[in-house]
Amino acid sequence: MIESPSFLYYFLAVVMLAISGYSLLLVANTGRRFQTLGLDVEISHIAMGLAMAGMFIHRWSFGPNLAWELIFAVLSIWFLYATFRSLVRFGVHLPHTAIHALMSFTMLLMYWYPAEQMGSMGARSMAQLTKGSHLDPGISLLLSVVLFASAIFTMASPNRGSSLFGTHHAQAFVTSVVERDDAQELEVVIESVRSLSAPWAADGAHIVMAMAMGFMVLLMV
Amino acid sequence: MLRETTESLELAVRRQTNPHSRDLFRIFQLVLATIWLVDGFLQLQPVMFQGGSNGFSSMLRSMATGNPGLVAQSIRWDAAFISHHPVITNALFAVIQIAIALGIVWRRTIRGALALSIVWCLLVWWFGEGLGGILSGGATPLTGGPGAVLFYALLALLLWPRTQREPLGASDFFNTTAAKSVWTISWIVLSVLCVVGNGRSSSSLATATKSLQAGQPGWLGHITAWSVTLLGHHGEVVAVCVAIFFLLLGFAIYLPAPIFRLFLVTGIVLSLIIWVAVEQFGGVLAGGATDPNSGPLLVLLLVCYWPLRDGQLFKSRGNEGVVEVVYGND
Repeated sequence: MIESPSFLYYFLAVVMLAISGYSLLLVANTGRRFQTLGLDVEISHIAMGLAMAGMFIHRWSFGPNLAWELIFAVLSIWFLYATFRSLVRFGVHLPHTAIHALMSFTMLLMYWYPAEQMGSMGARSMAQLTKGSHLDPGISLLLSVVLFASAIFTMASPNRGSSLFGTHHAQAFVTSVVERDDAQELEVVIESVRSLSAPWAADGAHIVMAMAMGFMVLLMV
Repeated sequence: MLRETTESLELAVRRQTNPHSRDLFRIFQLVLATIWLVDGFLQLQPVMFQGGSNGFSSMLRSMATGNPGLVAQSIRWDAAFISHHPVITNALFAVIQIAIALGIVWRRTIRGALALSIVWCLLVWWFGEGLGGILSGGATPLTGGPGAVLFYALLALLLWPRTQREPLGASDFFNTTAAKSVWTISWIVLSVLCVVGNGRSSSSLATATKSLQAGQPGWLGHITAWSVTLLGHHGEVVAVCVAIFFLLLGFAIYLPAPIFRLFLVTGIVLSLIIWVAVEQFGGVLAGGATDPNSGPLLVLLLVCYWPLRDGQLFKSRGNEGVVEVVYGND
């Protein structure tokens, strides 16, 4: 019997819940102060944080799996649509929504393969899991590498807060504000950036979540 | 303020849409950081926290086999220490590797992180890989010899931050001439290792490949069954062919760029084939592996030396982002 490093899973679960709480504050702030830019990303952070906390510590999970699967299926489709829309509108590039489509789909996979083995995380390796699940460990490795790369490249990006700012839609939004000569509205956006939704914090939430999910995929799927 | 913000966002979008606006040298550093991050999290697998005969320490202890007394003794001592303190030592190992990855990402800490990675690699090479099997005659590059960690160290030197616009493969640590020499020497060494000791033994190659098969997914099992058969029957020929190619690759850097590119592409394809069919992704898919072996590092090394046209490496180095505009110089 392999001894699980339970302290690690508790730590990661707490971090996931913290990110969920932070994202919840961002959503509240976004709804109260200005437009819906980045709202979808924050909602997905809330869902992923809660779901992954329940995966790391089984006792902390709540709600039927079917409901979570539905949430992540909808998020996957939404982010795929957002990615498609961004590509059509702004040409070939890698929008932030693409990695969120992948993350949502990965969450879906983690519910599909296999729920009964996701109780407590101990004694897991990809080989052990493949005996009970049908997801190829090659896919697991690929997903985890992409998620880790997303964390690293987001961290290194000069475009801070890419989930909210520095994106094509953000540019379109600001341009439209400028065209309308609505300085007050832009000031509201900038104020928001200065306060709760600081770009480094938004990036940090995404980076930590991508790393935790990469780790989980490495172990679980 | 409005104009500045708009310009900043336009810059960000241009940076996203124009592939040549990226700093390739920086991208290679980040790819190396990603591999370190994968290694760090592989170190956090539950099996690594286990002491005793099925844990990480037993994996280390097995590296003592075939090494001279002093080396073997030091490895056994290290394995025994880890076996007694599996949780704290393994957590420390994981933290070090994750810290190296994150350190490479931040420009302020990159030199320290790369320096740490070199020291760490040398320690792992000794205690974790038993000097890559060099002294026991089993350091063939076909199975990851002379130790994947040495490639991490080499890449750390090659990707050491630079202040001048040198061709790829050069850094502040190695100038262009030194980088070319390092390239040639590295491939000569790899070439020699292909044909010395167990490197050219068909049975040894087949056995080494077969030993990794347990627990692999079916599709990889089929591929490796083919490679085991090939190496079992024609391992010597394969080893000699690979050795000759490595030797030519080492000197190809002095040939015109189009010919060198051809060698690089062949090298990348060969490295990938070896990584999949022989190294089997370093055993990661079977669980319990600490790194993906030398395949991805060899590919990164080959790509680092890809000859570019002048000015292609650095085209746009704008640093202004939304943060800078919004926060100004606060």
